[in-house]
Amino acid sequence: METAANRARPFLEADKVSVAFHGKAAVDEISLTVTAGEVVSIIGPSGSGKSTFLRCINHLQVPTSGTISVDGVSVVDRPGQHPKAKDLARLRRKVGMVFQSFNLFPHLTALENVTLAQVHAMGRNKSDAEERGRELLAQVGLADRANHRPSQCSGGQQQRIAIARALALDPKVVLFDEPTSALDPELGADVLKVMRDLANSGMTMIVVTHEMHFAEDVGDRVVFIADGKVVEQGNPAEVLRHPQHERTQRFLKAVLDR
Amino acid sequence: MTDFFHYLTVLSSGVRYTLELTFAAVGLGLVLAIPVTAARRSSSRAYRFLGTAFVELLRAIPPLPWLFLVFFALPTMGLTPLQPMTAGILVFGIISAAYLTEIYRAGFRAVPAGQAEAAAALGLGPFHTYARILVPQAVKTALPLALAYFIGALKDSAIVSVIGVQDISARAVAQNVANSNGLIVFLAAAAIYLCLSLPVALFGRWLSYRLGTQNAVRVGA
Ligand SMILES: Nc1ncnc2c1ncn2[C@@H]1O[C@H](COP(=O)(O)OP(=O)(O)OP(=O)(O)O)[C@@H](O)[C@H]1O
Ligand SMILES: [Mg+2]
Repeated sequence: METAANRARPFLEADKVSVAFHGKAAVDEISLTVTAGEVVSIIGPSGSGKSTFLRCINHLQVPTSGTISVDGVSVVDRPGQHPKAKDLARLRRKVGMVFQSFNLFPHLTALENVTLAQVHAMGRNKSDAEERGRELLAQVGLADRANHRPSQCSGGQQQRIAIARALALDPKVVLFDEPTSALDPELGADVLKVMRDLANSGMTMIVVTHEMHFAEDVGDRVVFIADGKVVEQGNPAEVLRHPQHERTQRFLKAVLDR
Repeated sequence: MTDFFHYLTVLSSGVRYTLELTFAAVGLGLVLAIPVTAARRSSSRAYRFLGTAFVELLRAIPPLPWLFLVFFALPTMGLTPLQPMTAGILVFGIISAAYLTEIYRAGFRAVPAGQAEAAAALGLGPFHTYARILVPQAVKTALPLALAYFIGALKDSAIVSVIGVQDISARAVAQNVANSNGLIVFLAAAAIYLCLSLPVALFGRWLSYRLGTQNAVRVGA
């Protein structure tokens, strides 16, 4: 239920989230607030902690410290607390995720990939789930692939199936972790188009990406992360064209020179 | 040559015991290996330790001492003596649980970590994650290994003859003692074991081939 109180507060709020691996900080006190419908692009050098931070949002990665709340749900109020299965399930119903390597279920057809969690995580009945599944596959341009296994689909098609799968639980926000970096540019274009449509439909999105065009054209905000910290953020055109920090300038120069 | 066929017939009466023992023991092992695997994959350190201790202890000691322990030593401690067959099934069942736990583990390790992550991100609970995502994929690796283990168990089961189960080997030993015709008797025994193992081995090969190519085969829309 959307209430006035909910709308007034930021939809997603990460507060001083840190993650340490073997005592070394991969994410170092990142705070981020996202409003409903916003599309936030996260950019930054390899190993800067982008994926790790993103994975904290749906609790695939447990933060060492800091708190995260999504649409009023926070699974842990204090660091180190073991989340309740019920809260975790509630969080993951609200948050969809798309992985760099797709992570489709290879033994299931495209349609089964998209319906499985609807039935077993949401409790939808099978025929409703299939109807919704076919609708979503059509939405990503793959109605004709419903009965194919992932291995019978191109990389770009697989990633679009993965997007349909993430959308099947009617999430409030979708996280993308470099959704096109495993794809040839041509195949990636189909995926980016689906993401653009999704953004235009008002979906809240957080996208870790190296696609600067996408970040500038589709994104509402760019967040630059280096060494586990937010270095700079703001309007995409400003951050990408007139970066203020030396670290951002160096990174963007390296990306554009490539 | 007629001797050979004579012994084949005599020894064949032991096939029943060999098969019964192997099927029952491996069946018991397949089931017992599930909680042991669960313990080894548990987030609790104590459970993981217990699971590993079980596997290592059973694998470190050969079957024969276990068999003697259960069959001869337990009754001296006041427990009711077990039938030879029961003792054999129990010992081989528990030992195969240890080996099958390792086989299950190999199966799960072959499933990329991204699969469990995707399942978690979709909000699937542990039961559906295992039943729908991990096990169906792990089986591809584990099943051929389990079949190979089954063949091994079929042959190793011969040692239960020492506690008096009338299996193929026990009958071969008896015939050898009675007729001093060792070469032919044991050749007949070998032929019977071969007839039992070979079909399973061939099935295993066919199955690995099928499972390995399953995804490449176009099933059509
Ligand atoms: N499970 C893990 N265990 C140990 N270290 C890890 C783990 N995951 C990530 N790291 C380390 O944390 C740091 C941040 O990794 P992360 O994957 O978040 O970077 P990234 O910004 O997503 O990089 P890329 O652009 O290459 O994907 C890296 O130094 C990485 O080696
Ligand atoms: Mg990454």
